[in-house]
Amino acid sequence: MKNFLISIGGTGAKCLEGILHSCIAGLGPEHLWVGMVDQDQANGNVSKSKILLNKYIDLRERLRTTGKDDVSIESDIFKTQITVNKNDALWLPLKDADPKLSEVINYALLKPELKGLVDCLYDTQEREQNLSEGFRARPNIGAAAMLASVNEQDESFWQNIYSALEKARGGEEVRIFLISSIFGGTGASGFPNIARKIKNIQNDMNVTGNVHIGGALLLPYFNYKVPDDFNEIHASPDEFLDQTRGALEYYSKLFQHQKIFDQVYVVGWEPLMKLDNFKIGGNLQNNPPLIPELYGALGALRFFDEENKMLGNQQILHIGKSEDNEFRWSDLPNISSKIDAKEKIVQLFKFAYSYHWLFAPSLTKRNWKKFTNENWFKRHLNRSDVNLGTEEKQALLSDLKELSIDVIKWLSDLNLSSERGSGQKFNLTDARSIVNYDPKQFSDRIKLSENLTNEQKKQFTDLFYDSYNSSLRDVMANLSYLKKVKEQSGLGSFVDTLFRSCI
Amino acid sequence: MKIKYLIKSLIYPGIIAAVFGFISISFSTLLFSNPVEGGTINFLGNHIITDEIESQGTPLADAAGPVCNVFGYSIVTSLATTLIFGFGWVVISHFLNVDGPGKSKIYSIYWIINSAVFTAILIILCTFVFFSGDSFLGSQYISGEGAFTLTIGLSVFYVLMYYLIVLLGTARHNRSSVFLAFKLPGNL
Repeated sequence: MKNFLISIGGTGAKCLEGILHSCIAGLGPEHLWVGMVDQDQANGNVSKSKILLNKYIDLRERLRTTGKDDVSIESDIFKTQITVNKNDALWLPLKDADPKLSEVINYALLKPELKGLVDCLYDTQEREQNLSEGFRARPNIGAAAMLASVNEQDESFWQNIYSALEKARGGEEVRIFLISSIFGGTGASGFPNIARKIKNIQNDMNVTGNVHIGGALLLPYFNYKVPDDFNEIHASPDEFLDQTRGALEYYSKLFQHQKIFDQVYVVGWEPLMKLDNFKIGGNLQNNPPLIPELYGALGALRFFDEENKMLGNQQILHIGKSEDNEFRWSDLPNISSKIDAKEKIVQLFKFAYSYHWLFAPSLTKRNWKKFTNENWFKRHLNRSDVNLGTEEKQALLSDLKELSIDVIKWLSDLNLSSERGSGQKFNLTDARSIVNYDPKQFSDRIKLSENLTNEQKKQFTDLFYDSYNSSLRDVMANLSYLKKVKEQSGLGSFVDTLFRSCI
Repeated sequence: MKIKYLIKSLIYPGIIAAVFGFISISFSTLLFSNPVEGGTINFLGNHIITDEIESQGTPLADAAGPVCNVFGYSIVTSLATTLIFGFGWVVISHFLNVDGPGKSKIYSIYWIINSAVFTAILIILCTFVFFSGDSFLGSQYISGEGAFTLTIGLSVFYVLMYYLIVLLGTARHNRSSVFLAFKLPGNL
């Protein structure tokens, strides 16, 4: 089965962040092609996910190289083989520098009657708006730009979709999932247009079966305060609900008249989560991860799961949390009957915690020799194919540490920012016991201390609410006793066993 | 702490205990059967029992019985003490809070204390039994040199047994706390 994921816009990128973390934890399918769509390529949300995507691909390759550092095919960590478009994972609908709508539609060359039509749809400010930082929550601008560019079939981004459909024609099942917000600019305009474009390609190629399209639409789940004196075109939270109503009416009609999607996951949140950071776009737009995005991410992974059978009709799926003012692990949906999302995410966090604070400092070039007599070291690192003195191994360990920091920050931020924004109690993890959270520091809300105190280490047992919690002693014991996998090589044995030890 | 890890770590100490226990029980059974001749009696007569019994007119056969009883009791008591301290440490080693690399070494002080207390009890026990003629009839017939030989012999035997038990039975993640245990293969 071939799986394709297309994240559209800033919200799509935030959901992709959740998908990537879930794939590190082993929640993803075997193979996944990922494409990102956003006009605002410098956007903090997009670039963060793109960096994580590249890190994932790089680390996975280095940890799954047979005969070198290999966690083995049995391992869940980095299970999903993610591939991207060979040139760039990110597809920009408009390629030119500082594009404007008037240039995209050749406004100056239009006949007067067409100009009049365009004038009815777009005012001068919208036509002349620099779109390098996205469509500013104006789906009418985004839709025109998307429609003008999705016909460029030669682009390698679209070539991947064509080759996927070719595979479907050959009998292989292909699942394509789109994920975006319903209320923004890029997402709202890209979601239906890209889906319809794929459907059209499918029809043109006369591929009648084996292709399933799914999508996750995120209804408004956050808002923010726009400064009173801000006059540029921007995404205004006051308009989100109206835009959403219009979009839902549109989708209602679309779903009645044309079967594009096999499954659509609709995610929303009440009350809307308040964000401190207002930025119109660019690298300063760096929103915190929020729980509805994880719902979208888990929806995508459920769609790709082999247990999820397509019924042929158009399914609109929804899920609710418990009605009280508290969010618990039990409110998080599972991907399938076999895969417990909560268990895997907790396992990943524990792995990141153990690696970052306990093992990474012990495995530095200066320190590793002090630990060669310890059982965990003898079992997993005292091997002929591991020499921690080499730059190559140290680079891999250092990149793993960086990834661990990402994971700790992501889940801590997810809990703390969702709680702060919604005013609801988020009982996932007691993140405050190990990180410093400053919501006003938009670029670096979460700060990790260099070392943990003994008191903090003891709190590891109580780090996760609503969950069986092991202690760090259990992690050390597991590392010494869990059965090793024969096929593993290099650092793979240590990485996989540490991950399995963190249950 | 997972019980299966504890059970796994009891296998090798169990074998050690079985071997040393078999030797101890067999020997003490022999001693409690009051042998009148044989290698054991010769050994006791030549090295343990005082020469003064001849001057007192007590035949060797009469003195050997009580000496065998004292020796047998001291073996059983030493065996029990060794099992308690050895397996006690094996169990405790799984509960010590080794919560990170390098932490295990800190617990070597616990192991040293456990071992020192065990050795002290063993020596005190033997000394009390073999040197205290008032409490045990058999010890009246044991020479000073003989008591010293038995004390050292039993101590060496049971300290060796204790060390092998803790060496092979200490929780893997806590091996750095036991002298030379880090030399063991990682998967043993």
